Amino acid sequence: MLTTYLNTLPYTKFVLIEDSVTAKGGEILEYLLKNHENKQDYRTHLFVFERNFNQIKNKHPGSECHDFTSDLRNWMSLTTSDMETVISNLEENCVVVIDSLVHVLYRYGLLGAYQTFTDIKNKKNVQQIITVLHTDLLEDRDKVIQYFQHLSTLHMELQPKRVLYTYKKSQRKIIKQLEEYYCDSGKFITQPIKKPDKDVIRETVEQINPENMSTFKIGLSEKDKESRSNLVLPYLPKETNSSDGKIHYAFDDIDDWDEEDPDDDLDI
Amino acid sequence: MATINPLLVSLDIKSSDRVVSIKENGNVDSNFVITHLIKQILGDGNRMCFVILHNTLGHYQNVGKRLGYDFLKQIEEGRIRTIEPLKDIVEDIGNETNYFVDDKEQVVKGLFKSIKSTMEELVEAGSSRVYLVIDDISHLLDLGIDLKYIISFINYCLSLINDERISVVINTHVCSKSDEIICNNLNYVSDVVIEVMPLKTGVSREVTGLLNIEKSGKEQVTQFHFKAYDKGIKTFHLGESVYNLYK
Repeated sequence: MLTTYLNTLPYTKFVLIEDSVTAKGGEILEYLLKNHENKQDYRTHLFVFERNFNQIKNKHPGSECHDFTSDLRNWMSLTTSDMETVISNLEENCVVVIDSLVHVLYRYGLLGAYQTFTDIKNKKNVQQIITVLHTDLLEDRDKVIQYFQHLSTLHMELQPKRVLYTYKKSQRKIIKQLEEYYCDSGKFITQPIKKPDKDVIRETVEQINPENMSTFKIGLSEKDKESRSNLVLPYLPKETNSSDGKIHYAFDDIDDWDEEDPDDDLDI
Repeated sequence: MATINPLLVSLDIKSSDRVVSIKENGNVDSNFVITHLIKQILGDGNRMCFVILHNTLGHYQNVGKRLGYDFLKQIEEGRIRTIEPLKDIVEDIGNETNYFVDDKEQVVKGLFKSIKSTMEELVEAGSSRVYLVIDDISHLLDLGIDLKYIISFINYCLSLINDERISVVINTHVCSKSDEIICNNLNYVSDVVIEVMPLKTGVSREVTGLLNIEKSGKEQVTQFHFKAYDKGIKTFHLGESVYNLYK
């Protein structure tokens, strides 16, 4: 079960959430952040690359927020931190959450981002890295996803109501599952997909009466059934007199019968 | 305003909606959303910094007259400040300066700096809300600016909402994959996403197109059909054009 794998200790090192506009991963990230913020024995570091920094900071007083959105390219010459410096300064036990991997990619390039994440992953004091990858913001989708899936220990692809996740256990076992999920008031709940119950289906089908489903008259009354059974189909063989297959043709008033053979002039 | 505008009622943009994005698909012109929002902004007594990359000032003046506001007069009075990169581009042709430099990052950086200083002046000028309206950000791609700089530019524009009185409205259109990426980026960070698209199956005399309004926090997307008239836009629930147009 996905929530079990996300919460068991020791934490799985690198959680990658792949989302898209149709299935956003924001709520799941919030749920994971909240879980970590409540813990006392380590600090949660939130690297803000997307949205407005102050809004996010006010929403997460329990995390140490790093501003990588207000002046990422140093256009305004504000004193902003460099990602590498911040990471090398992480000394205590901590969890690193990066709210948008795509923005890291656009800023530092694929190589730079991959190296950075490898560095963070190698740090022993970082207990978990969590990041969201918006797959529909990537130009070279497959390549990027492939590299970061390789780096991650648990990656999940979000679909509208389902999540396909791959969990690399520390004993080299890999679990790949498709589960249903929903977010309810800040909680992230997953459950395995239930097979539909045969009895329930049979019962529902029996309850359906086509007559009630439309304003058209679909069924047949007794009188209709009787006249249907009495109908004689003209192309089927009749039960009485079969006269050697002769064709009986009754001439109309306007027909004129020509005794000549139309194929007379052929030299066959 | 004495009469209530039906489109604005349908859109229901509040001052708590700090980031609004408008997505234009296909052949329908989504400019009406911005012109109506200008009406709402002016009607509420707020100010605006308008970055014009798609239409001319004359266009907004004409449309404004039909909707009931004098656009040029508002500029004279200082309620609206415009930034017109199109004009600057025309002046730059042959000079290789500003918008034609090779380092495209400087282009967006310069644009943002001028936006920021204009917004600061507008904020200082009074106590009303100030709106940044960009029409239309996808044109920055046409200037040869890389996607990564445009995404950074959007981040910088979002940093403006640190001031409680500022809201940002960005219009985009979708013609290519890069446009799609910009739209999706805005989708993740917006409080309201307004999507305007044509009818799927063709053209109708009674319905100009489909309007989808998605508000963050609400799962349901509100859908309307709309019809464009000379004097305005009428919106109605799906399929109810008959009840609304022939009264």
